[in-house]
Amino acid sequence: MRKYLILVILICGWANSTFGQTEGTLYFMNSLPQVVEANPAIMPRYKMSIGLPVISSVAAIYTNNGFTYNSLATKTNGVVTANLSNWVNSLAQQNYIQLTAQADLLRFGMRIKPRTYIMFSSTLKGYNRSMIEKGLAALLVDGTAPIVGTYSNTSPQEEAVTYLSTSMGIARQINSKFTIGGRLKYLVGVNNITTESSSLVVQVSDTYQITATGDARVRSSGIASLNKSNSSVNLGDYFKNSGLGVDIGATYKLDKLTLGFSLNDIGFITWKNDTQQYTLDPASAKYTFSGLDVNKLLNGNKDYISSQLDSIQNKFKMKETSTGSYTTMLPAKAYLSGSYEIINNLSVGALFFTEAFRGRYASGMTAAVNKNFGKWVSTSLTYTVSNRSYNNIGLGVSFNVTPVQIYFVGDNLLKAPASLISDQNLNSYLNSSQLLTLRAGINIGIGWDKGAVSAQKVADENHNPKEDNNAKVRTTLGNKPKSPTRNRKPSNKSKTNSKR
Amino acid sequence: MRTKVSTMSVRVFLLLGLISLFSCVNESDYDIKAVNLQPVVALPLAYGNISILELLTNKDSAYIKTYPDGLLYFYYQDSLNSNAINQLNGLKIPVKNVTVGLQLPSGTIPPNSNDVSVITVNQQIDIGLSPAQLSEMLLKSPSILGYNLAVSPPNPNVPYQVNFTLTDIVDKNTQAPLAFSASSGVGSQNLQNYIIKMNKNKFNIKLELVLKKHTNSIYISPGSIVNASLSFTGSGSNGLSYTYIKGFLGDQTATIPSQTIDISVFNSSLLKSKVSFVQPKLGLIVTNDYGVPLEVTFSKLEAQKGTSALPLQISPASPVTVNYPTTLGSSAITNISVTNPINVINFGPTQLAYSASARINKGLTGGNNFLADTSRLRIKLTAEIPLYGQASGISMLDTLNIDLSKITQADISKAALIVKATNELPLGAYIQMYLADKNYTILDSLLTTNQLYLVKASSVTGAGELQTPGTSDQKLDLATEKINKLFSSSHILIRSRLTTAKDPSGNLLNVKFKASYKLKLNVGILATLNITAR
Repeated sequence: MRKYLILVILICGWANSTFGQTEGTLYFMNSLPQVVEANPAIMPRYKMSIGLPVISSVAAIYTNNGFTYNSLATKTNGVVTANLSNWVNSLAQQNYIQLTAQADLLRFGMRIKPRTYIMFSSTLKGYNRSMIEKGLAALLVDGTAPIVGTYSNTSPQEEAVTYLSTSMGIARQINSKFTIGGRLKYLVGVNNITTESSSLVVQVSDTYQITATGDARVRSSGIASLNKSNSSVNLGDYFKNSGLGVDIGATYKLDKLTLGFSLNDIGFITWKNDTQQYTLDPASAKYTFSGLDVNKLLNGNKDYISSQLDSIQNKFKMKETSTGSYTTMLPAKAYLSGSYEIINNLSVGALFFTEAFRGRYASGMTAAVNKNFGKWVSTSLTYTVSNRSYNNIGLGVSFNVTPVQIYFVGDNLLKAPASLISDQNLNSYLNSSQLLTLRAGINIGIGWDKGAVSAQKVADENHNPKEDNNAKVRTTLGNKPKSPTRNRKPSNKSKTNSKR
Repeated sequence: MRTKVSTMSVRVFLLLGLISLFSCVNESDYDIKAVNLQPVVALPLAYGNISILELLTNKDSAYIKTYPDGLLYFYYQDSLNSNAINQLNGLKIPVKNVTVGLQLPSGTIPPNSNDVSVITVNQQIDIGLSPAQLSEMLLKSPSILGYNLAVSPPNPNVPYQVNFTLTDIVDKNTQAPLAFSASSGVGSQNLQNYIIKMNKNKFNIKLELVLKKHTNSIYISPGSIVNASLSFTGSGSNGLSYTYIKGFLGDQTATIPSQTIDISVFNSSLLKSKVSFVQPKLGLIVTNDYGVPLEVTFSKLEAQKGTSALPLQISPASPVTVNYPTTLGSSAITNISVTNPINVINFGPTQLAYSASARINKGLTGGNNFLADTSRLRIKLTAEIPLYGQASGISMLDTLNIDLSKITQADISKAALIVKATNELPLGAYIQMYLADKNYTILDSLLTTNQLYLVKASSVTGAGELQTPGTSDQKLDLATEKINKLFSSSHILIRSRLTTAKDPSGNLLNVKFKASYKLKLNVGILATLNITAR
């Protein structure tokens, strides 16, 4: 029974994730050094930040554009039952189940000049993404009758990659409006599974004859040797898998409106270590089941059925061969944002994001309200639409107790307390979620940029301090200005802020 | 210091937070006790492109042949051999013993430096056959000429030699007479591959007594003779063995014991059916290797079915004069036709039985006959039955073993059999499937009475040939309770009852089965399952 369930879950994308899955709320948390992961042109509020191994940032992201646990299982009189027919009905045409995990090994960022911010980070990232089409799930659960006289063509996919990303970058404020940033990444791949192509065509004729044709080409690196008992793991081998990547971004300010754009993870890894190829040739991986051959049965061929079973196994056995190096691209992401400062320390923003990876373009949007409570607490309240999921209220909070910054950020967190209050557990929250992101950690931060102070205005609370139209901004490095502004006549807006 | 304390506190706080987070999950929600699914499966059960050959047993199919126009026919033939004539006592060569006395000179014989011929005797030997009168016989192994030479009264001082010249026993290749010499004592000659040329069983031999040269005087008492005892023997107590014999074999009668020929088709698939063939042909072919006038009298020639029997009427009628070859090594064939084949075949016999006697040289006193040791009288039954006729109630039974015990629980809420058939065979099929337990006790039948006619026969022309294929495209709803009995069944017994095409009035028609006629069959099942896996 459980095996059956496990099988279904595996087929549908167990441990699936998109490593490049976006974190909408993080984008608006410029109090965090990790905000550069979303847009390298955004300068964090801390002038200098240090991230210690693991504790500075651990992130996990789960997305499932197909279904929630609630659509699979129901609980009646204390008995949990999985209804697979309901589950199939809830699926998308293509169901991507993704799970990402990443942890900072080291992070450093520093505003070396008022307009220049440099950054360095080393992060271990891993993701796994599986895709199953509704057609295949329906075939397994709803049976073959719905496709009598037609066919089901599905392309299950499995993608997995683990790598170490070490990056150096810089953000530069070009002028009072325009800031650009970029990061160059050196990548070391640990392991990879890439589905180059896959196809499973199941055809059911009017006479119920079932023909299955398989076609697949899957490549892997660093996987095959793990399954061999006599293999030894040489860490040096993994450095054969190297690659490069870049992040680029920019922000542009139009008075209270700040626009942002970034392209992240434009890069590749060339895999050379322990590379294998698994193939199914459609010319041989084809079998037609027409039922029992009456002619053979009438002829008393008793070995006929068992020979057919052996034949099927042989036809659909993947051929494993060593292969040469191959290159995979990273899941690239594009962000387009807009933020409007309503009043000082309070702004609203919107973010549109798209991830492009191996033929899939996954888009979403996040709307955010951001509020800084002095330098001590920064918050962001968000609403995210992503992966066919529309009920994601996110929250980001950082407690900035210099030099320690404690934070957590997530795109679908607010239902958790509601679940706790109503049910005394998180089950209803977890069971109804298709999107779960959580990033938490502790940073060492020095030099909080207060942004607007009474004498020196910083128009953008959520992004970068800007230059006034007529004078350079004087960096405060988190301290009060030593003297009031003398060279500039306060504007009306400044007066307003000052009064507050 | 204050900062360190603060950092530590935060870590502890986070750790506790994580622990609290996981402790806030009620794991019972994820302990799935059952999985429900309601698939509607369309599965093929069986398919085939079936000719009449598949419907027959393998044994029967081996006898199927095809006429040039494609019409199939059974062709049975079975030969029974008889060597009864060879076994006639009148043709068995007896052991023949002959003693020839050769007179020695008497008195004192002075020394002599040369051999001296004393006497030559010609002897005629009769092999002793009756009533046969042979003229020639080729001998094979074992055929031995044994001899024993002795002086009487005994006198070891006499130096003598006997020269044998068997003028009528010649080498089969060189035609040279057999000749040899022998002194006192016993000896033998192998007669294999020698031909004995005879005149009415008699042949001649010549013996010459020679007194060998000697240096001393020898005294031979008066009346002394050399006795040359000859014996012609074969194996054991039998006489000479022959490859062939020629001459007049006499007027003799051999009894051919009762023998039967199985007709498997009537003994298997068609046994319980009512079959009527239009143009069956039955015949006997007698192949005779014996070069002798021969007459066969059938004391029994009948078709048998269980304890019933139907005589075969033949032409020419019994006794049948059988042709015979004129040269040794050839055969002569005599065809005997059965004049009541329809009656015989439609009788549905399981075997044909006959017993007979064979008389040679009936009323004759002379002639040039021959036979070989390999000669046989072969009686071959031929049955040629075109598959042209009508049949009903042809019953077939197949057993399909099933084991659904590994399926935990699968209620079939709805099921139907889909039968699609295009039938060029002029044969319709009523099929019922019986569910049986492991002891073959019938639990239920799967189909209702009005669902049994699954395969419709094709329509035929007046000549019995295919006019229009019979087509079936049926969806047979199955009773749920019967379907569920599948899970407690161990076997499915598929019983088919086949009937040839009928006219609109329901009368059976004479139909032809041709090699190209096929039944294209697809059987599937459409089932709505309600599976609960625990």
